[in-house]
Amino acid sequence: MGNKATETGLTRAGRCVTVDWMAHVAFVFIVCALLALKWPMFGGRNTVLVMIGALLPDIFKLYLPLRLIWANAGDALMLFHIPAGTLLVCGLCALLFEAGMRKRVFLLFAFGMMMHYALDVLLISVTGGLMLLYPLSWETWTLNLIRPNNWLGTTILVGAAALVWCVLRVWNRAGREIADERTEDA
Amino acid sequence: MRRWLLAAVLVCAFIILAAYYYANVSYHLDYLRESEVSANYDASVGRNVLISGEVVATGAQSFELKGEHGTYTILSSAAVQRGDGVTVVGTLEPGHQLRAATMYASSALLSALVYIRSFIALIFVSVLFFARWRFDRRGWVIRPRKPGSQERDGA
Repeated sequence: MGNKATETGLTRAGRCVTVDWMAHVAFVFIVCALLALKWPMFGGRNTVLVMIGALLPDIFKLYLPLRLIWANAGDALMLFHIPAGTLLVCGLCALLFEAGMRKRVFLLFAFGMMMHYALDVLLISVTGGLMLLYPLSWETWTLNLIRPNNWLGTTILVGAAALVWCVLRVWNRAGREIADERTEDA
Repeated sequence: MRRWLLAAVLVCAFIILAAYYYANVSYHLDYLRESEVSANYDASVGRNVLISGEVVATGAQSFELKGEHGTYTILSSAAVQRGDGVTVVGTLEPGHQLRAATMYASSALLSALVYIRSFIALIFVSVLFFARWRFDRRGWVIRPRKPGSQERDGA
């Protein structure tokens, strides 16, 4: 049992498993860069809103410094890392933006939030995983595929993000040069 | 005005959901947490419990895990080292012993690297955000730095 146990992994804070923020940001960048090819609203300054949306669930990690003064803050803050709670936070954050763009900002935050849970649900968890349907259900889900604290996964995602960024820069420059040549010919 | 009202509604909804979670989560877990174990150890013996902490001593078939409320002897042949962060689910036995069923061990270095990577990502996102958005103190709203570039964002 013990040997088997060492092959099982989880990172635990309350009841949830977590990926580091660099992996979340890189994952969002890759997805948004690819989506922006077809839908420009995912590109430009909006990409960073999706990135922020992907970090919002981890506000619950405030329990770590709070642990120094209040031991059980994990349960109190856990709603931040549950989709229903994160959606409320997305709404609150969207209200900080100017009136005409709040709906779009909320949707971008919510999309980032979905990216966050899409990564977290892949992680191996001993305690059951993510409580995705609270308050409708207390059921937890995990796919038990990836070890948390996995530097290799983060490295691959960051490498892929850098590659996508380079390819898109070359692509955009080539597209601009072709457009300039056409303008000069005309 | 409508904005502040909506914000108040969202905050209230959050507090209600958080309070409901806080009050009920322990009834829906299939294991006891350390705080519940320490509150009534004898009643917890024989039940599934979850303990997180730091390895303070190792042995051949067990190791000592220092949790928030005490030190437990974890009966497991898993290879752990002193200083590792360990979370273990298992059956509680008398004498602060826990027979491990599933367990996760992470070295202090790997755990520290997670925080370092996350901090770097936070700096990166903050710089990116303030390069493209600005906070207008007069209206308490966040606006794009270049309002003319809306069409690029598909707005």
